[in-house]
Amino acid sequence: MRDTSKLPRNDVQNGRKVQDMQKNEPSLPDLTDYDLSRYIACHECDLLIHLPERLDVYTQVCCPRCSAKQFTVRKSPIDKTLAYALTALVLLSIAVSFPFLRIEASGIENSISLVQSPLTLFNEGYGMIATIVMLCVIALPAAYLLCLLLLLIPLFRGKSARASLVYAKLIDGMLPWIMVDVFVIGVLVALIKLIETADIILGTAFWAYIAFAAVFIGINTIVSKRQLWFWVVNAGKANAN
Amino acid sequence: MQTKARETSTKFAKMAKFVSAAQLGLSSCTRCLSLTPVSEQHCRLCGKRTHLRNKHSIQRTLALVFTAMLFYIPANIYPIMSTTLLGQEIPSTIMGGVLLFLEHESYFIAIVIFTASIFIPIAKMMIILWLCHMVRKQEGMKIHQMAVMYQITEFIGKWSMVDVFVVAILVALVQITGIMAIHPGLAAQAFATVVILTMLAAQQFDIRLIWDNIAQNKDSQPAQVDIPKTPNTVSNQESHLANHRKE
Ligand SMILES: [Zn+2]
Ligand SMILES: [Zn+2]
Repeated sequence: MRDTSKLPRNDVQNGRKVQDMQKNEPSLPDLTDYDLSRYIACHECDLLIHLPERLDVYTQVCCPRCSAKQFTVRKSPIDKTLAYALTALVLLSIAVSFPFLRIEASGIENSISLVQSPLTLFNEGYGMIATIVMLCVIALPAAYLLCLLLLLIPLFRGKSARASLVYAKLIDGMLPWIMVDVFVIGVLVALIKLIETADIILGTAFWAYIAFAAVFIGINTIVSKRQLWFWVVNAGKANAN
Repeated sequence: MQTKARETSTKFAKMAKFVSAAQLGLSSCTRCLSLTPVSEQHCRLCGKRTHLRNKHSIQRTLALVFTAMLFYIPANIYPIMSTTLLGQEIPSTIMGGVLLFLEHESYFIAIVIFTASIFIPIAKMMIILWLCHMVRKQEGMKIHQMAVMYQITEFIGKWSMVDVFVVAILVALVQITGIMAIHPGLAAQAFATVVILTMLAAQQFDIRLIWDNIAQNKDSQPAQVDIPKTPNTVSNQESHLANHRKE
């Protein structure tokens, strides 16, 4: 019989109902001593799901109650992610260093680079928006890719990766604030707005950034939350050996 | 260890149709999704404090949404940017921009801006308020509808930032001395704040709360939930592992 009184009170603030349930069903087994690595809890509905010993490649595991997608078993995800991340970093560095857009009206022209946008905003006294653009569009994606490389290269080479936990925490924290795809749509809308009033010339950096966004979305589909932390578990195992 | 786990799983099948991790006192980490007994205080994998459900989830979500609503007022009153054309300054608000494009019969951009800057933020705040209300009321919950609504709010969250990025690009690009220049307006900052606050609100809301409620009320209102017949045990594992051979 499970003794619910052992649970610290402050841990079940919102889980009051959960505690009641435990009282109603006292014969549920205590899992504390069991190997939890074969179980996952659905991130949407908290259903406990037991995984079989072996999962075939390309198997997609879905929650049996709310049908939320849990994860997909992929073939060599580390190799693919490394290749994509390197490509994305190269594309991003091109996008930062070459001219992004050029505008021409009545013989006067203005050419900007990608970093120019946050700089101009900063000079106009809009530091907050400058920071948002700088972080969400350039800095965080670059940091994300670097962390991903630092996390995966040791795993790829089969070496121990002691700092993997730090990188995974950083990656997980950065992900919601990366808005590469949103920025691409923003640029397109801005261009449509201007197309009638002035001539716009698309620079090298423009195409590089669009390609970068496409590769980045590819990385995001592979590196799901579960995939990321699965790598951390693997890195931990490598350290133990 | 394996046989022990197997025994446990067969026990599950006899106990209840669906067992949530929280019912067994297991905390599913919000950061790394791994399971840790809640009595252990810190996540076994990433070290985050263990909670069965996000602490004060509803209160925090509501606080963030109400703050976002406050910021949404200046975001609509003040101009989001102003265009200086041949020495004449024309300020434009979010709604003004939409109307301008409608006048010019650029329906596509009008729809894009209206959706990203007006429809999505309002819909998002309304949905989050509705979800909080339903979880508090604890009855008559349409679980699947609520789950879908939550997924929508989580997905569209960052897309409202489009308008801020449009302003950012225009301000940098349109600086043609003597002819045309665009400057940012106060509303851009207020609007960016709204987007960030609603994103934080959606993150704070714990969607698992709505499923706890059906587990509790399963005898009183069984018809409302479409529960598949398969229990989540080892013996029926194949049925919920949909094999998708893609390549
Ligand atoms: Zn689920
Ligand atoms: Zn954790």
